[in-house]
Amino acid sequence: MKDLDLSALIEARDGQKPETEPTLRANVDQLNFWYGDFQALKNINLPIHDKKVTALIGASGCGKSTLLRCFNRMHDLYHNNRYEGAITLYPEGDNIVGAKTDPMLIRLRVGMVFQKPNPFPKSIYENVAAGLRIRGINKRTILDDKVEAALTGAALWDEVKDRLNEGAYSLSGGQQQRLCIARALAPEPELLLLDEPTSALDPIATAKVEDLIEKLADNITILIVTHNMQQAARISDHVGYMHLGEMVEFDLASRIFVKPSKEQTRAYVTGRFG
Amino acid sequence: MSDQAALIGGAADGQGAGGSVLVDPSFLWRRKLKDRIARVVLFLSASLSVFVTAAIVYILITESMSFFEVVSIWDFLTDTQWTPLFTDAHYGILPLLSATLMVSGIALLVAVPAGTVLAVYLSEYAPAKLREAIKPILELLGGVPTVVYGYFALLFVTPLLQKFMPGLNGFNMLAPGLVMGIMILPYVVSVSEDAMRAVPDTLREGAYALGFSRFHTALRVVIPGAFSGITAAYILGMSRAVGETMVVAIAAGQNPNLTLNPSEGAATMTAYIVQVSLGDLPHGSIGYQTIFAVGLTLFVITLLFNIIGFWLRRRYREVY
Amino acid sequence: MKSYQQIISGNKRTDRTFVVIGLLVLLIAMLTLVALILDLAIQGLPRLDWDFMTNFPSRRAARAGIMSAWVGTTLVMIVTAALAIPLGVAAGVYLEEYAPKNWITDIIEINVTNLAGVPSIIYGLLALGLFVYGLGLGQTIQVAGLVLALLILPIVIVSTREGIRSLPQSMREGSYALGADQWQTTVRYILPSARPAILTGSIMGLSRAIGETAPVITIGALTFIAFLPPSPVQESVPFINFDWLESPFSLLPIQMFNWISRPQADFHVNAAAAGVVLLAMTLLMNSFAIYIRYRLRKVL
Repeated sequence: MKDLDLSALIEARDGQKPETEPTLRANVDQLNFWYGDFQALKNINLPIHDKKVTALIGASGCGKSTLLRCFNRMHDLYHNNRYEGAITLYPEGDNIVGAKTDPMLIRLRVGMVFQKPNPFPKSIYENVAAGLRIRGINKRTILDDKVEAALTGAALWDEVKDRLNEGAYSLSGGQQQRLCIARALAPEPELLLLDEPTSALDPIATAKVEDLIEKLADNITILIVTHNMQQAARISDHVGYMHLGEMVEFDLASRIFVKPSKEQTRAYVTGRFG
Repeated sequence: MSDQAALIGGAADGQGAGGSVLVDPSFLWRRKLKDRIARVVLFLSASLSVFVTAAIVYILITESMSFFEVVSIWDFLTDTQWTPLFTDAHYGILPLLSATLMVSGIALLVAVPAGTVLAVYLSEYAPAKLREAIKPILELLGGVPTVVYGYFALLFVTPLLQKFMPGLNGFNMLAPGLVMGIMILPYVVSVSEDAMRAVPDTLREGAYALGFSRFHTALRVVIPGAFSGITAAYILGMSRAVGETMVVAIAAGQNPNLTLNPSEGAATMTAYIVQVSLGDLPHGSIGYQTIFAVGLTLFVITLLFNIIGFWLRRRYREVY
Repeated sequence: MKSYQQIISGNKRTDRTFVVIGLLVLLIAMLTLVALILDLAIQGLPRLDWDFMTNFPSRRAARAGIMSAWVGTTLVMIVTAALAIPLGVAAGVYLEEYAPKNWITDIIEINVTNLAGVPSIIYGLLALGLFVYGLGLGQTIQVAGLVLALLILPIVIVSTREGIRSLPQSMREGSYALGADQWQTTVRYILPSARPAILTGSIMGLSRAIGETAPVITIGALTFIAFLPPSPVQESVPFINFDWLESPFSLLPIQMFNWISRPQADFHVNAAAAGVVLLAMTLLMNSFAIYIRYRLRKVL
C-alpha cells in the first residue's frame, strides 16, 4: 500500500518538474565523524544539487541528523567531536569541515531550522531580524524590508503583520516553526538545513510547512532530515538513505521510492524495516 | 587566516544564491575583535577570585610573620592566657580557641538534630506545596543580619534563660550558642536536604516494597545513602559557626576566659578581632599584629572544615 | 510474629510521631523568627520617628538618630553594587559559557567555592592590611564598598551561573546557527534570559552586604559620625562628584552594634529601632528576591 502511495506522489510531482542538468551546491567527500571515540559517520559521499531538495532518511540513530549538523559545524559547540574528509561548498569550493575553516563564517552562509521550534524570547520582528543584526545590519529601513520578505517567504506574513512586536511565544507551534524558517531565510543563506522540521507539529501545520519547503526550493538549496517517508517522497528531489552511519544509497527520489537498487533500501522505504 | 579571508572574499563575490553579500568583512573583523576583548575581560573578572584568595593568604601570613618573630609558635599554641594588651603580655590562643569551639559546639547541638529532623521532614514527608512554602521562610531566617541576632541573644535570650538559670552571666556562651544554632539551621537544612533528595527514588521504592514505613525508609535507606552529604552539612555548618562574629562579640563578652562552663562569658577569636578593631592600636604594633595571627588561625580552621565539607559533598554528587 | 495489621498500624504511628516532631522543630524555628521580629518591633517601633531618621548620633540617647548611618549604608551599597554585580556576572558568564576544561578553570572554580566559605571578618582583615594600610585608601566609603563587594561576589557568581545553566541549549544552537559568535550569543540571548536569576542573586547579595558588620568594623569604621559625606550630586558641571568615596562613614549595623554595646537601656532602645530599619530592609530585599525566583520558576 505504501509503495503505491509513494510512487503516485512522485509521479504527481515529477510531472510538473522536468529534470534539468544539475549543478552542485555542495559535495560530501569521504566524510568521517566521531563523537569522542564513537564513529557516527563512515565514509559518507553525497552530492547536494543546487536549488533542489535533498532528503536524508533512515532509522533513528543512523546518523542523518549528525550528517546534517556537519554542514554548519554545529558539532563544534561540543567537546571531543572530530571531522575527517571534506564537505565542499560551491561555487567557492571551501571545505566546510576543514580544520582551518572558521565555523562562524560557515554558519553565516548556511542556515538551519531545528527539530523543535526554538524562537528567541523576543518579539516576532526581532526573531526574524536576529540573523541580520548578528551580521551588523541595524538600519531600520533595511531590516523592515528583509523581515517582511522573509516572513512572506515563510508564508507567515499575513498571519503576523499586525502583531510584529508581540512575543514569539504567543504564536502556535506551527507558526513558531515557520517563524524559525523565516529567521533562517532572512540572511539569505546559500544552503538551508532542516532537521526534522515538522516532527513536533500537528498534521495541518506539517502540511503548511511542507508546502512552504516546496516553494522555497525554487530559489534555495535545501537539505532536510526526515523520518517521515511520505514527506520525503512529497517534497524531495534526491534522497539519501542512511544506516548505522553509512550512506547506503543515494539517488533521485523517484528511484529510491519506486525501484531502489539495494534490498536494504527497499526494506526500509516499504516499511518492512526501521 | 587565509582560509577565512578566502571565505569572506568568495562570499562577497555573491555568486549563486549569494546570501553572504549581506556580510560586511569589516564588520566581521570588528566583531572578532570585540569577541576577543570580551573573552579577556570575562577571564580577568573570573580570575579575580584567585587574586582575592592570594591576597588574603598574603596579608594574613606577612602580618603574622612579624607577630611570630616576637612570640614563638609554641607559646602561641600552648600558653593558657591571652593578655596581649597587658604589661605582662601572654599570647596563648587556647582561651580564644576554646571559647570559639564551645559556642560553635552549642550551636551544633541545636542545628544538628533540628536540621536533620527538618531535612528528613522536608525531603521525605512534606507535600511539595508545603515544602515550597517552608523553604522561603528558612531563607528569611538565614537572611537576618547577624548584628540583629546578636541583639536578640544579648537582650532577649539571655534574660529569658536567666529566669531558669539564676547563675547565668550577663555575658555567656550559652545564649549566643543557641542563637547561632538557629542562625546556621537554614544552611544545615538546605545542604542536607539537597543530599537526601539526591538519593535515587529507586532505593526508596525498594524499601517501601519491603513494607518499610517512611520513617524506617528515611532511617535505613535515605540517611545512610545521603550520609556523606549530611556530614558535609554539619561540617560546613560548624565552619560558619566558627567564623561567625557579631553574635559572639555582642553576647559572649570580650574577656578571654579558659573555661568549660557555658554560663560564663568568654571572648572568641572573632570577638577578639572586633575588640581590637574598636580600639585604636597603632598600625605595626604587636597588638595590631595579634589580630592577623588570630585571623590566620581562624582562616586555617575554617579552610580545613570547608575542604572536608566540599570533599564530602562532591562525593555524594559523584555517587548518584 | 506480629500480624500485618499490627505492623502497618505501628508504621503509621511512627510516621505520625515523626511528622509531629518535624512540625514542632519547624514551629520552634518560626517562633524564633517571630520572637526576634516582635522583640525588636516592641522595643524599637515607638522610638522610630522622623527625628530618629534625621538626627545624627548623640551622647544623649533620646536625641540620637541614624541619619549618618542610613546615608552611609546607601552610599556604601552603591559602591558595592557597582563593583560586585558587573564583576560577578562577568565571572559567572566566563565560568559557564567560556571557560575551557583545564586546570586554570579548576583553580578559579575552587577559589570561588572557597571564598564563599571564608568568614566575613577575614575579608575585614584583608581590607585592613591591604586597602587601608597597604594601598593607603584609609577608612573610607570606597574601602567599605570594595570589601563588601568582594564578600558577596561568590553569591552573584553562583546565581549567574545557575541562571545561565537553566537556559535551554536550543537557544544557544539557534543563535550559533545564525552565525553569531560567542559574545553576540552571550549579550543578545544568554544574558537577557538569565536576567531574573542575576537580579535575584544580586539582591540577595546586597541584602547580605547591608547587614554585614564584622568586616567593616575591622577596617576601623568610626561609629560617631556627626556629619554627612559630600553629596554625590552638585549644582555645577559635571553635576556628579565623587569626593564622597573618600569620606569616613557610619553604617546602620555598626550604629546598631555601637548602641547595643552601651550599658544604658535607653541606647538599647535606639539599637532596637535601628534594628527594625535594618531588618525591614533585608527582609524586604530577600522577599523580593525570593518572589522574583518564584515567578521565574513558574514561567519556565
